[in-house]
Amino acid sequence: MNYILPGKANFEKKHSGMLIMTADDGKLYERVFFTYLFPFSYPGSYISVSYITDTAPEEIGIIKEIHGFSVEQRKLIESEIKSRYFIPEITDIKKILVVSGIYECNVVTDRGEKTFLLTNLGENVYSKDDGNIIITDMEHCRYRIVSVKRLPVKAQWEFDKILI
Amino acid sequence: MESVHSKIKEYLEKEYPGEPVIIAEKTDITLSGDYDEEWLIVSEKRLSVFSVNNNVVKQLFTTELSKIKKIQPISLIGSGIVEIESASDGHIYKIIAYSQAKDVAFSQMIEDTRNLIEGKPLTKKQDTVNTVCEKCGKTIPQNLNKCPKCVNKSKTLMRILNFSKPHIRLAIYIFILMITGSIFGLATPYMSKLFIDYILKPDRITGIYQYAGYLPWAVLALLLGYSGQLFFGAIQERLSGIMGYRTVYDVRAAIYEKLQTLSLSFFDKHQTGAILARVNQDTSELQRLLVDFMPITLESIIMFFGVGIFLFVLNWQLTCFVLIPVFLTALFLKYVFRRVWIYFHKFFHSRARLSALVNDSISGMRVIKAFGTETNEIEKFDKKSGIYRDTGIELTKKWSMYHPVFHFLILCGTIMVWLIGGKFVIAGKMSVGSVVAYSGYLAMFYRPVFTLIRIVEMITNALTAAERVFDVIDTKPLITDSADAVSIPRINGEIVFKNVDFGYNKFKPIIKELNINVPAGNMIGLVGKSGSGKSTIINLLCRLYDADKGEILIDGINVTKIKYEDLRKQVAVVLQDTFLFNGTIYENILYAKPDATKDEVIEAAFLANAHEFIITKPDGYDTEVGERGNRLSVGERQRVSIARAILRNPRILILDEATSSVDAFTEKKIQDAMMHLVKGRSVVAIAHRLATLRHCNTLFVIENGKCVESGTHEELLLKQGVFYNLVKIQEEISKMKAIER
Repeated sequence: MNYILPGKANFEKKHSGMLIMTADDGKLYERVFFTYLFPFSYPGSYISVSYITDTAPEEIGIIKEIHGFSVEQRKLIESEIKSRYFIPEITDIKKILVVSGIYECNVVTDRGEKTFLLTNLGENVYSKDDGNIIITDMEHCRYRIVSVKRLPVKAQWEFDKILI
Repeated sequence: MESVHSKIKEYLEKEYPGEPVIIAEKTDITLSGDYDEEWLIVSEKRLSVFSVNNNVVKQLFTTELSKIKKIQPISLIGSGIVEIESASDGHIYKIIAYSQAKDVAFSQMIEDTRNLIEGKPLTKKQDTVNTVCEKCGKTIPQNLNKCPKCVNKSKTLMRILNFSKPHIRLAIYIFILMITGSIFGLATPYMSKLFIDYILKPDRITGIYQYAGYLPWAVLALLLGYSGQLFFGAIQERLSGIMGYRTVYDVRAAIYEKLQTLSLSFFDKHQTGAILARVNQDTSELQRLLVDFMPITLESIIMFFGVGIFLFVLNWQLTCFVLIPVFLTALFLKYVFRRVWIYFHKFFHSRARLSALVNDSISGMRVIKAFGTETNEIEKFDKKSGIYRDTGIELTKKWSMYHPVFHFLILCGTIMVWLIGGKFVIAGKMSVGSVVAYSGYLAMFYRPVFTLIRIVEMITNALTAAERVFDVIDTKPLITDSADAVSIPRINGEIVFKNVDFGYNKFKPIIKELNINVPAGNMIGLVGKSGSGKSTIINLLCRLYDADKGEILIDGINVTKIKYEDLRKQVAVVLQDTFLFNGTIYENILYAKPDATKDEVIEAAFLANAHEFIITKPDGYDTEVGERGNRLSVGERQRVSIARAILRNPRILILDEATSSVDAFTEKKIQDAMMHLVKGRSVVAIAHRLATLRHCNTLFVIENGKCVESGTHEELLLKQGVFYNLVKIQEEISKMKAIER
């Protein structure tokens, strides 16, 4: 297992939007991307770094913690991950309207405001053991609530409408 | 094509005059992963990306179509991006991002852009691509053909009632019984007025009970009133139940029948749990609607008006006063009581989670014991049980707070009756009997009021469940017999794949320009790494899916033009993961040919080398195989499956990894059985152990959905290509295993 330590790799974004990594031995990896190994239970830790080859993606190594990387490198890694993972985190619930058995949820997420439709709560609102709640809307988009208790009180009341 | 933002139109007309927009799609997120709108616009000459902020158009990317070497959608997690490889500088550019909701729309758009570059005609807009609801203007989610918010609930209700049409006579009886029962129910409180005001009231001057003679008759009438209400209520309940269950039986039969006819792609798109929920939970919800909610609603409406009339007739002024607490109680129930239901929800939720944990733990007891993790399991249980306890306490606290308030409000009504009614009695405007009767009616009045408030939500939920059921019933199977389908009672077995393209998602092909030729009676092998597309080829041959491009011919006829039943009858599959149905070995073999005689079944089992293990079982052919056949070993299951295929006597036989995951002895048995099976028919075999395909007439090496090599075993070895490398890797693994032993 190859762990990528701070200072042993340098990430750089090209004008085209592609990410490249230069290893400390000078080897250059193009079309690099990151994958969370624990996207829900330990986001921010254990990040797999891979690159796209002609045949299939290949893993370069794993970043255990990003804290040790420079601020700029951290920002770059985090922004790359943000654009790769689109599971918006719900930070506030403005209103949940129930219209004809369909739940219209107007929420604030870390990616901006969104209104989505929800039905069949039994299938689409899932509470994980680690406290995360995963909501899948009618368009198969997923949203995440890290902890209901961290939501504003009014949002918690609204959330109760879709808790089953 | 999505309508283009007016500002972008203006920009395009100014900057690129004479280049009309051909394809346009609006995205919902930016490349940085935030919600925002951007536009991907393709004209005859160029492709551009725009954003519009405060009516200011910004061109984020542009390139001429002739300078695009490659354009492709890249799936990320919950989103996707469009990548372009530039022909001029060789760089790869990420040009626009889209959320999962736009996946199909963008995949199609990219396909169309490619078509445009290559001078091919554009594809037709797919049904699955989002469209906008004409009523509310919002995007209709993928895979839905109607706006879920604007769907007409009354139409759904009418459809349910249509299912009840065969039981219309029963419905009329129910209605008559309901009215009759209600009349009896309404009469009883009025009897108390007769008792108090007449029968049990002595004459003011003489002190004689002048109506005493009516007492037995009045008691009898009261008894009749109560009995009548109970009797007609019971019969009505019984008939409602019968009608409800019969109707739901029809709905359940319709959905199950539909599931059997639907194409496999439907089952790919929907999880098994979700489909089971449609058949079980949603139809049960429908059952509740018909058996419980609808009769209760109808009864409540009758009682609401019936009791209301009596209240006004007895004393309209008193009724006006009494309606105040009734109104308050209704408001309390509608807005405040809902809060308590949330605690009920939480309570049920934590109970379900605890129950799931116990279920999981008991089922996995062997693993728990093997790893010695009993303490962990106890801790997990304690945590969940603690949550269950806390939600229970929270519920009790809230319930003990709201419940008395609710009852107090009801009591206010009764107190109001005695306060205002008492004053009316003293003033001589009302008799004591009328006040007592009034109290009785008031108690009866609360029930329909509360029911009608709560029932609306329940009926709405049930109708939503019904819509989900109807969604399945309305789904059109993708694989059907075409009008010009021909019957082939006996297939010779020549198979040809001609330039076949296919993807489970049409825009992400797994099989690409595949060409395979199998002469009748030949045995061919498909070789390749996992995920190379071998099983997909088999799915296409069985016509579980239809090819997106190209043709699959059997005896020179396109499979889509062969009657589906004929094809199914003459193609049999033996899979690696053998599925046996819960039942006996005999029933499982018979599955292939339900009209087979016992002799035929035994002969098939004999040829499949299954007979020898069956006779060692105490129950012989009547041995129960258990759920999914788990009471038999893998090798036994495999041989039952081969017996099934032999009994079917197919013209085309497909063997998908049929001999893997068994020991060498069992494999020999299975191989011997196979030799009986393959005789005199066309065979397509897949095997990871390449040596098992040695006797195939031709081997096709599949890589990334394409046939990269073909020939006999020996020819391919001599070629020293992909197949040769695969064989070498396997030989090395075999050597390593031998050393380990």
